[in-house]
Amino acid sequence: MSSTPLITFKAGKCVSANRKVRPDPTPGYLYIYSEDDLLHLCWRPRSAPSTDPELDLLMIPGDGTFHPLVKNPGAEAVESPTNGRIFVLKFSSSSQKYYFWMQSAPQHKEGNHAWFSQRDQRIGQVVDALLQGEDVDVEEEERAIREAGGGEGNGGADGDADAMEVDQENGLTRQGSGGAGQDATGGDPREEGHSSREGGADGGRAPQDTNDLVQNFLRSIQSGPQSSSTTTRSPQQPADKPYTTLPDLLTPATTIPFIDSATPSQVDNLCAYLPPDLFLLHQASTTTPSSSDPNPTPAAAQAAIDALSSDQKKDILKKALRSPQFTQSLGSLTVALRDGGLPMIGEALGLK
Amino acid sequence: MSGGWNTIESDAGVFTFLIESLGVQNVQFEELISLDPESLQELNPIGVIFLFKYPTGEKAAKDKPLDGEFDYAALEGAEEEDGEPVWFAAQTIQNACGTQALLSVLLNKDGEAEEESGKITIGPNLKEFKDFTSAFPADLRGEALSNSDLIRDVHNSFARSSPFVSDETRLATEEDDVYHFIAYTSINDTLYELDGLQPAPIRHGDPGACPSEIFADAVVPVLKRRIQRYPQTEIRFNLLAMCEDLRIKAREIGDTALLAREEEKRRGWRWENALRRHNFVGFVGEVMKGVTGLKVREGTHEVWIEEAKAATRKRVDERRAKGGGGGGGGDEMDVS
Repeated sequence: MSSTPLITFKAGKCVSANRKVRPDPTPGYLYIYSEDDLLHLCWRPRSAPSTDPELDLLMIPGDGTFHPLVKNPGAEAVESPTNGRIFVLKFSSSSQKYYFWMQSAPQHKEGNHAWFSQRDQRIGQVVDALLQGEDVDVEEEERAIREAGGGEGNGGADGDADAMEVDQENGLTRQGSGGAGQDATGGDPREEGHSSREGGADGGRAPQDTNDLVQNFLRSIQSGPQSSSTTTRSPQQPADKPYTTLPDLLTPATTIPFIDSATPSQVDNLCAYLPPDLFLLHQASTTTPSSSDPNPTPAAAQAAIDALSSDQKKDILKKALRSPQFTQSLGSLTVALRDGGLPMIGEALGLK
Repeated sequence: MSGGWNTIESDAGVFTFLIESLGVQNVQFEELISLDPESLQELNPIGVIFLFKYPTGEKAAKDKPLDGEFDYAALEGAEEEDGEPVWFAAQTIQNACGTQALLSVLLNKDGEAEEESGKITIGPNLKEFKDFTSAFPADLRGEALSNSDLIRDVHNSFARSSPFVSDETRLATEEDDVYHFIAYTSINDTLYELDGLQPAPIRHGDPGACPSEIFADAVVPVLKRRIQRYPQTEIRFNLLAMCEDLRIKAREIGDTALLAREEEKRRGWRWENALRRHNFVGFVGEVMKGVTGLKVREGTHEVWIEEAKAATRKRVDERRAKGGGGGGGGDEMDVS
């Protein structure tokens, strides 16, 4: 992208089918940038690089409008006739419409997910003003938006900072809310509010399902310490202090005893997640391994694993858990989580 | 913007398998632990790759290098008896500099390995690249390198394991050190220093004064002078010798112990590379679930998290107190 976006906020796209419009769960960003005096309104999934938007609309100033979709126009409360906050992009030059839904944590005290807070409305107003070709001091607006607070009370999370996040193109420092925020789970807008209540509860309640635990933990890496008394994070603070990191949790002192006490079926399960070459190498009678990239067939790989005893497999697992490559990947995974990769990771870990 | 090139470690195993994947035959790398001519000579080196922390204070001298002479003429290879022109490329991408240093030796040693001593079989891919870029000036060669899909893809396949491709991702545990790779080799019987950040190859000593046979002897004092340029306490550097696959020599002279050691070393490299290229996300997830399950059963779940939190806090505090110094990669070398 040749220029940094003027404004960015968390939003999902909607797909239209037959006169019905359905929100797409992919977490994304809606953003506007200006190039050669033309405006681009773009949408991309959060996992995509900023130079690769799925939607890139060329907007002639004055042609497009961006307003909340309201069920009671003129009423004091601004809310959509759905279970989420919908914005609609319309054109005076055509009858085409685009719908987007806000993905940041809703700020309604009682959890009405269709209600637009002051902050939400202002975001829409900034976008609309930009589309009209007005000169908007976006920084000033963003500051005002942040200071406007959560409106009718906040669900305990740093709701403001997480709604909008101006992409850092050079990515050298991440300030403020390190990324997607707690509610980056995507999916039903109805669920967005829940996470703000469950997310911080790690230490607090008796843990049940391990999947939930891991998911809670992963979420909490993103949003920083929940249990600490200081809830405000000033944008000046470099790199949020992580709650804790994967390398600190999965030390050999923790993982090795786990392997030792694991059942054979657990061991087999874990082995399936390691590169097959590790098991091939373990074979006593290896032919000269001069090739750097053996590429065993899945059958050969499985045969190599099966040929080993459970103890031998445990040895390999322990060796891998102690390796610098594993530790490095824990580090980079922690950073990726902090920067907002939760949905992808959740899927990859099969937590859903 | 990294330009699509990821960082790779300066490790003998990584480099050996990297060039093998590019099609080079029978060449390996060996880490040098001490800088003395005898041990270097043992390896019969084709070239030496020197990695050091790039001092941002030291500017690239434009008219004269700090040691040696710029040899622009070598780029042309004007006279027939001068031998082939030196293949030299300007560095355009920071993260590619390791591979670039390797190539700057390899592409100058292209020949029939069996017939001419000191030559190596670089394989069809690199041969094609060399021919394609033979008429280019140095900066265009650098561009060609950074745009080469094949070379970049092989390079990146040895990069540190990262589950997510993101320009914004930074390893939380690393310092932001800038490391630079340069190569030394004998070309046309002359000792050259090939540094992509310099405007030309740097000649050390007189032309024709360094046939490949005495390369080891000639390069050691040059390296020592280089190392002495930096404050003794600060510098971290790494020296890798490029040489013929040591197993070949072992087989020829019937040294079974050496052969066994080299095979063992290769297996170690293969193990490390398998882990290096592996995407650990799935494995980490399973381990997390398993460990969490175990801790819950034992009733130690909360203690575990608290201890980890304390460790994180401690490390952050220590780092802040230190002002973020120290750390970084690279092995220290004993120069005695």
